[in-house]
Amino acid sequence: MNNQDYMREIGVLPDGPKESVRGYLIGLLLSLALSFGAYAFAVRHALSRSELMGLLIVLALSQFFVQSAYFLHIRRETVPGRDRLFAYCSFSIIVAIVVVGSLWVMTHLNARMMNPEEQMEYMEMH
Amino acid sequence: MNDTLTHEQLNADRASVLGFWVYLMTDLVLFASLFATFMVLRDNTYGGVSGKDIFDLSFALKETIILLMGSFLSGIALVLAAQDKIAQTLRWIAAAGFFGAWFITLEISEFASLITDGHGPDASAFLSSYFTLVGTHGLHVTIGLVWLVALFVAIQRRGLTRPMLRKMALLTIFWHFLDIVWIFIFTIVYLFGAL
Repeated sequence: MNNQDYMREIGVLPDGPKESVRGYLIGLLLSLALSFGAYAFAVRHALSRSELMGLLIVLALSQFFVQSAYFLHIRRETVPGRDRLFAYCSFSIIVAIVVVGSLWVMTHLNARMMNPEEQMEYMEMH
Repeated sequence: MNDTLTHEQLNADRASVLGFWVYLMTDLVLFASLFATFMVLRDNTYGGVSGKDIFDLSFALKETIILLMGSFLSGIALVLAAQDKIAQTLRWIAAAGFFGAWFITLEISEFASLITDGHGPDASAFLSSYFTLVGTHGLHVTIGLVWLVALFVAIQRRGLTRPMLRKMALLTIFWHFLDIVWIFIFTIVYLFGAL
């Protein structure tokens, strides 16, 4: 088994040299375009704040998918790629709970807590 | 190279790569909690500066491109290593290391100027969470750089043996992972901060 086959077997470089280099180049160009695009939108202020935030998150997620596919070679066709995809998906759930959960709780603190008078009333009632 | 690779050895190496990947996923949870902390505390500036006042977007973009270049170059080095081109592999690893070191230099200068201007991590909750999130990422890149230098020396001494290839593969995965984390730092910390 030569080095190229070995790299493919452990799932690090699933393609041959030419396709690999092409993949890295595509990944680089798409990432550059997405980064410059995000920067251009953020500097211009042509959209409203919430629209802009949504757009920037979409661009960041796109770049995340581009780099996962072209740099990290996460793909369903190979066994190592599938293993990593599974780990990605299960940990994404934890990441989503931590981030969305924290933001949700912390931005609703006022609505979820009673003011002092309400607390007194509640305590008298019980 | 040597053709004697048992099925057990191959499985062990596959498990090694997957194990490293799972470590990175736990790192992702660490970063997620730091991101959550930052997003919750970003407006708690204690009457001091906010992201709008201190972030230079073109500087952040420069850091983004430099880190991306390092990530890309380490991938190309891996392709060259798979073809047994040791001299070229070393050259591209060195190039990736150069960009990584450049990134860290920029980040240190950014931190230093913030601290000397009185906007250190002790100035507000916003700045504490900013320094913790970005600093943790920078620490990872620094560790990656030390690893890269060690790998460079080891490949020079022992050649592109199979254990070297595996270690190099893990380093490039680490590098790509750190670049992915940085995309979100660039977007959520810098671009959102300046809105």
